[in-house]
Amino acid sequence: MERPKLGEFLVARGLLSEEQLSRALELQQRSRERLGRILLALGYVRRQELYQALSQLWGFPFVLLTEERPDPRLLRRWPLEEALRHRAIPLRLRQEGTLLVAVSDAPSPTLESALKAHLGVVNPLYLVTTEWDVDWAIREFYRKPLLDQSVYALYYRSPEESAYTVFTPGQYLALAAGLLGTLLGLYLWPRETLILLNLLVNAFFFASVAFKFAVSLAGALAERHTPVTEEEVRALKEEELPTYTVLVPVYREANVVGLLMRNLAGLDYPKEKLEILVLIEEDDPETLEAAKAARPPANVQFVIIPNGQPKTKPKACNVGLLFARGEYLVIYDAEDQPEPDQLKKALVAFRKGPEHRVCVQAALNYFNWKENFLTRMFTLEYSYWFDYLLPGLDRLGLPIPLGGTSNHFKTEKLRELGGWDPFNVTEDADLGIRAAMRGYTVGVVNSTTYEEANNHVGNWIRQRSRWIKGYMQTALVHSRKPLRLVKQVGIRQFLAFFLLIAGTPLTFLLSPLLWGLFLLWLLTGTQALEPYFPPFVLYLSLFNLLLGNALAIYLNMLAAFKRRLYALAPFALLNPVYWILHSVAAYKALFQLFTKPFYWEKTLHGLSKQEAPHLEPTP
Amino acid sequence: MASASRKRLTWSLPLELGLGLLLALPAGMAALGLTQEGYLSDLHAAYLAKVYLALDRGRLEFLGFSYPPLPLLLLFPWPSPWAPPVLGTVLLGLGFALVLAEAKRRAGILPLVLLGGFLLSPWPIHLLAQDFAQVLGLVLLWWAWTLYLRWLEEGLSFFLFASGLVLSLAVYATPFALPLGVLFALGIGLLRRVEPRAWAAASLVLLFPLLFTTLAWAYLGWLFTGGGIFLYRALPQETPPLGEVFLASPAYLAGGLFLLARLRPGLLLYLAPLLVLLALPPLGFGYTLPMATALLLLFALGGLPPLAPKPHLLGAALLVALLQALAGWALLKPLNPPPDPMERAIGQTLAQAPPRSTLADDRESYRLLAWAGTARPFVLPADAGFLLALSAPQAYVSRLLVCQGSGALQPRYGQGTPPGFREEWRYKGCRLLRRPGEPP
Repeated sequence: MERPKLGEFLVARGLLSEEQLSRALELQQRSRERLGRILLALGYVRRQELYQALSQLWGFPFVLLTEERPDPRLLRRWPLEEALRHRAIPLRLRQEGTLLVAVSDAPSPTLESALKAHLGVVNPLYLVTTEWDVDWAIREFYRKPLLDQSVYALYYRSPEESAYTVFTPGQYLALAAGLLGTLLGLYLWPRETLILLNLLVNAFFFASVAFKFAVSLAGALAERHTPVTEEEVRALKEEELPTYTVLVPVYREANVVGLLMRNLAGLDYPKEKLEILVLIEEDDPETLEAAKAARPPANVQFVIIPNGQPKTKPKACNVGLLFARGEYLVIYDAEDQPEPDQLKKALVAFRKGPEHRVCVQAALNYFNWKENFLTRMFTLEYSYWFDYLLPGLDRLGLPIPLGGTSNHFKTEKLRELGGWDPFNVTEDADLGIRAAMRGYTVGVVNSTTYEEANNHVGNWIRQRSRWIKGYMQTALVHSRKPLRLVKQVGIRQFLAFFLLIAGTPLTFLLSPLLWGLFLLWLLTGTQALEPYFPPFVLYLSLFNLLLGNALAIYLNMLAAFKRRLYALAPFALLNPVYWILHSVAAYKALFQLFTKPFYWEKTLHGLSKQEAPHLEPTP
Repeated sequence: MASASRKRLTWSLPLELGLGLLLALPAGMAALGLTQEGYLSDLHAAYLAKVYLALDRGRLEFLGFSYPPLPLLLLFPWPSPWAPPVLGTVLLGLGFALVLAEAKRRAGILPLVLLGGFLLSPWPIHLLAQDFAQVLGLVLLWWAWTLYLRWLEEGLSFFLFASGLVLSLAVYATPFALPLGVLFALGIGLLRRVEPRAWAAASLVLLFPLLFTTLAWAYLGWLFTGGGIFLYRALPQETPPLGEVFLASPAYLAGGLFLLARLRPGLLLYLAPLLVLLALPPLGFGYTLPMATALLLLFALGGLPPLAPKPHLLGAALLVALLQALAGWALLKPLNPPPDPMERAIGQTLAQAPPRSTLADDRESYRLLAWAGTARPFVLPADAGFLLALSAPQAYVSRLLVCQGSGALQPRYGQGTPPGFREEWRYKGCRLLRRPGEPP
């Protein structure tokens, strides 16, 4: 006798109306998604009812894992990876040798082979439970391995790529040798040593200016080619859309989580193919309660991150990555407001791009740019970074340091890369270079996520010091074996990486010294500095002073113009004031690198008095 | 017809570059021929004298932060009387290539016909032989203008950015860039429907690099020389009458009449160079007839809207091109090389003198310095010991080179001879005074 179909079964049981079924079937026709997922996404059936119906259709009993707790001895032999891969939890071994296994998907032969391999069982008895029950059970009963996996996976696999060790002995030695050499030089040949230091600093600034100009020019040229057009997005067929996972790490953000639900609901992507994992720390019940109170849609799942050090965003994301079911994955922050068609655009960018493209980065910008001086300057900076610098790096085939959010990944490739480094406080920038080391590339996509710009100096310095510290960590990690890195990524990419990642903190650390010298000379007219500025150093420093600064101002101005933020363009002239804040943050970052390297300076969100505009999907 | 012309005009960039260089070659050969015969324009000689000094002393600031600086910097790798015409030819070729590229983009044959008129006249030779900086300035202005026009047409911020950058470079070659940039900025609001705020922002994007580079050069001038009015130096003070400029520019006049008849908004921008030519002389900025004519021609080439080459338009363009060529032949005086090679020979002889043995002032004797090919034998105003040597030459130098001009030697030793020196030779207002007993 033919097994009844799920929809008819549910209708017969009075759990679904005929109209609802025909609507769901119509959607299924378009999206080719499983009917169960569609029904859940539409909110027509409750999860437990659906899985109870499935259990009857498949001929297996139903079980709730919160009531039927698994045998810990079995779990010890059933590794976390298998539990995640098959979403299956062995519950109990009966005396006659039958193993009760809770599953949320129809059992497959590969699951049977895995059970046999790990537990030596040949006759399992399956019990059906909801996928959320399985995920909950994994988090509950695999707590330690989960924590271990999310924190140390990268370190165990390739310790030299992890920021767990801040300085290697070789780096300490090099640092000490450099310091001693400088001191010795200052003692024996003070003038020559100071000239050499001056030359090195100015040569670095010169290289940095030339590099940024070349990349920005390439970025400006990229404007002539739209990575993904509206037509290409419209041409996407719904049935060909893959499952997409959205990871949203939140911590102490009860005040913005409601907004998050609204923004995520605005994504133009079939709900049944969208898996939203809100990653909430165990010690943050307020955010969890607020998130529940916001009545999230059925495709939103809360993933509680086990408490443990380091308490960082990348650790939470690593947990999320373990549970992600999507073929593609993206990260958003709690206050993020992505343009509705961003997922589709990213998908087109992946499909158009080369096979080795593992990530595409969307632009970030701010909705509260008009709020005060700081938000204006921050918006200018982000407009330049995401609209000129990253597209330029993309166009030149150079490694792209990912931005904190809106980076879209091929999930499997991300797992292959080892996820994020939880000890690196700019895990995203680090991931960009790790991708390049394995021959993968990162692209950019012409879609924007609007965020809340920091509107408070203290909060801004906290956030920026974390970013700069992360850049320092990343530079230190990847300078451990420079020759190997050159071999892996190529000399051009290597230089670009260091000019950007090591160059950014170095610029902010050194520029107060140069500005100080300039102001001293300007105000006092002293000739005491002349011996340390022989002609070639003088010309270089004048070039940096005049052209370097002007260029930085101009590129910011241009970025505001391109974004049509016309009122912002004149504010670019005030950049030197903003750079002072960068230098303050850089010195704080340097201090923390030695004292609290893994400390995550939390940025407070929800401080803006301006409401985020609601973005409508393109019709 | 239009599609046919579009089909014909599908060149690739290297081809345009090759064609441009080929078109510039006759004028370049003529200019090189003049140099071979001993011709060296005053401006080229002044540039070379500055470059020799800076190179020999190893101090860039010995340029005195002269204006325009870009041609001087271009001469650094190869300072020689041959360099200006060679560089000028390459730049002219680049300019022609840009004109060809623009004609291709607009699928217009008429600008090419007008360019033909220019090519058949002595205008290019005059520009190359007299001041290659003018060629450089014109090429950059043309480039900036076409980029600006593309921004007006297509709205991509890249074009405004690029136009701003090129203008900022152009100001280091010609002072025309400054007022033209301002007029371009004003033109934005007239030629593109934008809100006032967007107009202001676009103007800022266009003008910021231009103003910044100008001020940067002023700052460097002040830093190294203590002076700030750098723009007024090294510019021609004499300006041809505007009537003569019009007479030399039939293509510009014809283009203007065409736009006037059709009342195109582009007419407002088309008048920009005219405004500049009118406004600059009262402010003390001069220009030469070839420079003014070439500038107006550029606006004629770029200002015309894309037009299908109908027979009557083509006929009119041919006629205008012919007039343009004739105007050149009629109005420009032929460039004649000096009747004898004496100046070059004297310069080369001076170069043989021992280092720092000849007191001279490059404001007077730049022509001989240019032919000398080095500043090593000379003690010049930029040198620390110049004033001492000027007051007591017998104690510091063995020769004095005194020429007519605005330098420091002429007032003091223009007529007489300092004690212990006697006149060695005299040539075209220059005298060499030598201490007896010193090797000649």
